[in-house]
Amino acid sequence: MTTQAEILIIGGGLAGMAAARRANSLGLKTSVIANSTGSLPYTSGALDLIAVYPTETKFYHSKPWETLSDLLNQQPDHPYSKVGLKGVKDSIDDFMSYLEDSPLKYYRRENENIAIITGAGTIKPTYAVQGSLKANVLALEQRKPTLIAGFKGLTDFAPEQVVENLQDRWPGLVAQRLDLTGLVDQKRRITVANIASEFEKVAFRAEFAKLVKPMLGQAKFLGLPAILGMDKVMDIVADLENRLGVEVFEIPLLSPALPGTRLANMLKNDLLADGISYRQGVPVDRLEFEGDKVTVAHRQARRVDQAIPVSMMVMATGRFFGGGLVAEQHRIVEPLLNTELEVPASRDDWHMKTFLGAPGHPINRVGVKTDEYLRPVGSDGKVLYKNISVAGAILDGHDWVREKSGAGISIATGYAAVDALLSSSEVEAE
Amino acid sequence: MTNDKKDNKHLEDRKNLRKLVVDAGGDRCISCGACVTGCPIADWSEERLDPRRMIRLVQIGQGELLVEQDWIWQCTNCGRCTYNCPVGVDLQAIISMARSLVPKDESPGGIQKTANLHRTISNNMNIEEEDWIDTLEWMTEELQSEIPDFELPIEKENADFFVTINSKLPMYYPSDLQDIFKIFYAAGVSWTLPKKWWEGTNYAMFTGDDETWEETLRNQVAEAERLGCKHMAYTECGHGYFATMEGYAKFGIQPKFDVTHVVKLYARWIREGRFKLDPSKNKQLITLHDPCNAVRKASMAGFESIEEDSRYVLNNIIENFTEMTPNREDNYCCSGGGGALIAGFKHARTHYGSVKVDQVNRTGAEMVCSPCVNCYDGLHNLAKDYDCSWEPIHMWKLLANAIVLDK
Repeated sequence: MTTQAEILIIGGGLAGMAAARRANSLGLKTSVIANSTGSLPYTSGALDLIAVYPTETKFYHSKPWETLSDLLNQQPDHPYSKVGLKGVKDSIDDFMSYLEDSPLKYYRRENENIAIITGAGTIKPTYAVQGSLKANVLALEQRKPTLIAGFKGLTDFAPEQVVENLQDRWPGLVAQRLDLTGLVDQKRRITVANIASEFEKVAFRAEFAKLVKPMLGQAKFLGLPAILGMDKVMDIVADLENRLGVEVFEIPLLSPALPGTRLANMLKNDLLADGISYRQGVPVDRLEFEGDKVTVAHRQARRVDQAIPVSMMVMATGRFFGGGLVAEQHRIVEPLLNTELEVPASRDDWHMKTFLGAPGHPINRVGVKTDEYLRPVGSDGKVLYKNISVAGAILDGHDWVREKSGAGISIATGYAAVDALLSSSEVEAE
Repeated sequence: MTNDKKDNKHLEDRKNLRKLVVDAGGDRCISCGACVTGCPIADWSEERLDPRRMIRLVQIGQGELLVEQDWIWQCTNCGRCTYNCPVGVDLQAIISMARSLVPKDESPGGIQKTANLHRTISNNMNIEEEDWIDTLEWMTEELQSEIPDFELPIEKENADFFVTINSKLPMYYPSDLQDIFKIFYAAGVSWTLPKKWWEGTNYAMFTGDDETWEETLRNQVAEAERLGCKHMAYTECGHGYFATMEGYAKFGIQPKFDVTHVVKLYARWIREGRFKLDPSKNKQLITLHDPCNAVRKASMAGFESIEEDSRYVLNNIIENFTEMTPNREDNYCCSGGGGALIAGFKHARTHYGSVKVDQVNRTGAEMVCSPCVNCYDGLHNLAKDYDCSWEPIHMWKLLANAIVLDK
């Protein structure tokens, strides 16, 4: 029944989703196959563009586009350099305008980085956050009296830790642990998912407001762990602000976390609503090639090997955790193309002596090498397959964790990978 | 069992489980908790078990404790944990293995009894052949007042479709048989109902009773082949469909016919223009429950999922459709899967069903279309226990209602 997709995207993380949105907007019949949930539920939902460059400076830049220009000048092999300044800007603006208009109401300042406080009480620079974290940015900037509230029994979040880490810089910060006894079914564990579903109920929010109001004191802001419901988070924030008379914000927690899950669900549901096929749970584990083209992708379902005909493919399979790369003792392999990546000659040189050292481990920058169309190339620099392009963290030449560039690279190369397949196939047709 | 024997059995279980956890990829587990956020029963039970604790229990050599837990039976085998696992651990297979290590006569509630009946009587509700035929004839007479030329095709040889029926219908909802008769009549296809082995469920899969599972499948295949049917139309029962496809693959059964979920046939027949449909006959706001077995689990095993065809059919037979979220492969269980409806842990089932109730309530729908008899019952119980204003409804009911017959 299913007709062949014009473009197959492998990977359900941000790069895969960005590629799928781009392909769909260009009118291509698009199909996405993800290993599992994709990487987004493991993120804070905050989208980084670039904040630290060069990484060894450890300096947070406030003007991302200026920082990006420096990077483009100095690192021609960086994924951003393959896309170019205009390509990055156009794709980020397009993707952000979708997110800003979405129910998650993403918040950014076009030409500036912003910063939020995290569940560990650290400060994280980023480029854009979900609307429920907007007051997190403002509270941190204004340092007004703020109540950081956690919940008794919720092991994922300690408000005291946040206050302890930040109080030198932010004297009006107060921690409280709320006791939800009587508000929630005692048989349910106090977990992120359970409390989130409680916040979706008006009756719970009314009781919660009664409980927290007397504790507010002078506070102008109320910071809560990021558990304010799933898809209706902005309604819930507005409702709480209305009841309490202070600005309410979320603080991102460790993964798997709600803001990232919200973003993943929204992207997935919007793509499905546009008629895109999305599959997860069984990864693509083998490709068939004819000459310099991939022709078939195989998905080994438990009982049946599914063969999916391919005309164009974007590989957005991520790094080690999702199975995009496989590390062995002395080599790193990309399993779909079955190619060995270029790694430092000795295993001793894969890592620095200091785990958190600022320059970053050499191995972090190892990834799949591509040409200017993001098509995978062999060790001789020649294109391996003409109808495959590569997007996201699996690309070589970046250290997204230290650069704070993960989301930007995923979005920009996700778009560019689709565009490149189209333009390179046009070149070929001529 | 003597203590010695019991200890030996524990050692054996421990070894088997340990091997299975390795085979199922459990050693890749990093305790990230994606399975827990996907699991509606993760926080239920005194022991606070959840899928990742289950893996750890086996890894530290306490596998027999897992086998003794009621929790493995409260699990509805919905497969959402496996679906969400980023490193591909087959958690569902571990639960099935743990269940299979419980001696059959010690499995809780009526799951095994149901399976035993299926094996001996050929259906799991203890319905004698005579009563089955009586019920079919009674419903035929009733239907003939609306469709005078309807004829009941019992044991018709060389029919295109061998039709399975969930035994709850003749037992509890016989008038629903008229809806199914009407659909096959209006589609104008040749079909038949056998006198035996028409059962459209298979509970042996849920206790790990492979012998019964295989034997019942082989008997049904033999019956359909004896009658010379070209296809099997599998009734609206998610686990029955899944157990059939999974069982054929697992036991190497290769029937001479193919098996299609009946919802896919509804969709095919609508596309072929076989029905005259009037969606205004179904005016209520209706949402769709995706049965785990016929959608997520089917898709992960590589069998045909009914998710898109369910929506296609509904859009042709009802006026107001609304999606619940999450949906399709990401949907939550009705709370009655995996044999939970008859395993005897009603308090647990009702409790974790609150996730499903919240999900349906958010849509504001008046009805939940459930193309699965078991999910229908799960949802029906939840609606009653939570005093909800919505009701589940079978897809056949909506389709039969929308079909306009030329006089």
